[in-house]
Amino acid sequence: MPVWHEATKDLQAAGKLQMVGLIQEQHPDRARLFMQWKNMGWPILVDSYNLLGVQVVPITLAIDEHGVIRQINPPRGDVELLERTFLSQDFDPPDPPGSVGPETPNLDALRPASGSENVDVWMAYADALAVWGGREGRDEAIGAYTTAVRLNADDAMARFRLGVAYRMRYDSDARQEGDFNRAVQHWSDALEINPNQYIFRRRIQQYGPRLDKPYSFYDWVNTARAELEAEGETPSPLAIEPRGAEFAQPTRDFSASTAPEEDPDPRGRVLRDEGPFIGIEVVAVPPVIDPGATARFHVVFRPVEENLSHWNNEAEELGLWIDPPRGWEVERHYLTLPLPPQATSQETRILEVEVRAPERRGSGVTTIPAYALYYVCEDVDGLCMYRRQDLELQVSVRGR
Amino acid sequence: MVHHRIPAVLSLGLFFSVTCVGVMSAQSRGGGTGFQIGQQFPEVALPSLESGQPASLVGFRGKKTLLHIFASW
Repeated sequence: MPVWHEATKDLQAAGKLQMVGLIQEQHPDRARLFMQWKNMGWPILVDSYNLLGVQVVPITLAIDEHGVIRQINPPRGDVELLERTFLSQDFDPPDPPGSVGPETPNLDALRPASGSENVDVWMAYADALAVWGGREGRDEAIGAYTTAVRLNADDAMARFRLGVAYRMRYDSDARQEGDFNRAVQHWSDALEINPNQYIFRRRIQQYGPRLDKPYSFYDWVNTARAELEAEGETPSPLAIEPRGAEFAQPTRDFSASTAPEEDPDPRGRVLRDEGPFIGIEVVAVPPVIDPGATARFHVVFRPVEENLSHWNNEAEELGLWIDPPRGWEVERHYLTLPLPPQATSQETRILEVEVRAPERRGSGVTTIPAYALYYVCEDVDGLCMYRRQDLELQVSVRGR
Repeated sequence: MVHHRIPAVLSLGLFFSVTCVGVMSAQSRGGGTGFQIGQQFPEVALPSLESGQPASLVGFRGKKTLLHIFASW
């Protein structure tokens, strides 16, 4: 894409060619940063829910003045060929002529009749709500996509879009417990139904283990920011920072922990967080793996607002001890997160760890025992306590 | 896999619903992209990244366009 941009700058400036982008991405503002970095100021349309139903990216389409596709993936950067075979051609308008353009959907008109069992009607309503319904609409969209999935359990696109809606809610202030888990589960189900859909596959890989990664998804973000700042520009802000799995580089080998690590609380003497003052959510990506394959666990820690909880950053760091069953391997048994500089804080903290299933294992759910250790305060300047919370990391293994 | 028709208000309505099946079964001609040469680009209203307002390729008609469908990863 940047190759096309560079190669056609003169044509764009002369008004002979316009460039338009259409992004298939969960977090559209990352594309905005990318465009700023590459100095590509084209109009961009956002299709996070994949309403177009594309199976792969990138795709470049040469579209004529009447809106008709004339070339698909023309040879990259070959401007001479593009001029000869596309730009210099006069194309006839389609017969019948194209539409005058879509309108923003009328949500009231699309609302399914009570008791409707028409999956297309529910999908149309859910799509319109998801894209145009705002925050309230997203919750209703989740309900409508869920109805579509109930009406047709094999509907891969309904499952994918339901997953997108759940992940969007997870990334918002309206998040509900389990939203990320549900997103990953629905994306996985969608991919199971249609394994050739790379938009589905990429959404899981974005958060998945390194053995399954085609490349680092967002390693360019820090480079982009550094280069923009060096040029005196302010990088376009991101609502949700990429992290962990989104930065991780792919690998061919699983590097299991071999160095001896010490269980920090072998007798379980640290008092349990009964509040709890810290809410913990565990997400396995993917939720179902083959024997010998890896899963990446996202362990998300949030101070519980109702309890006014705060992290105490003047003591030991947040730690997570993982004790996998025999035959299972883990990157490290004990993970820690460095403390921020301020004395107390209330941010969400995330630890990510990969595990590998044994080669020979029957199918079923495996529970990996783990526990977290942390200093938490009842409030700013309140009582601070060192506490332990026991967890279960669960992942399913398919049968051979 | 189930291919959904894009609702009439979002699309060319009947035209797209007729072509959709053809598009998906003609992957060899589109290199597996799901698109077909000679097909009118589906007119789906999507939010503009900058404004959040509805936009579509119809707004860019009258000029030859290179449309890049992409993700920043």
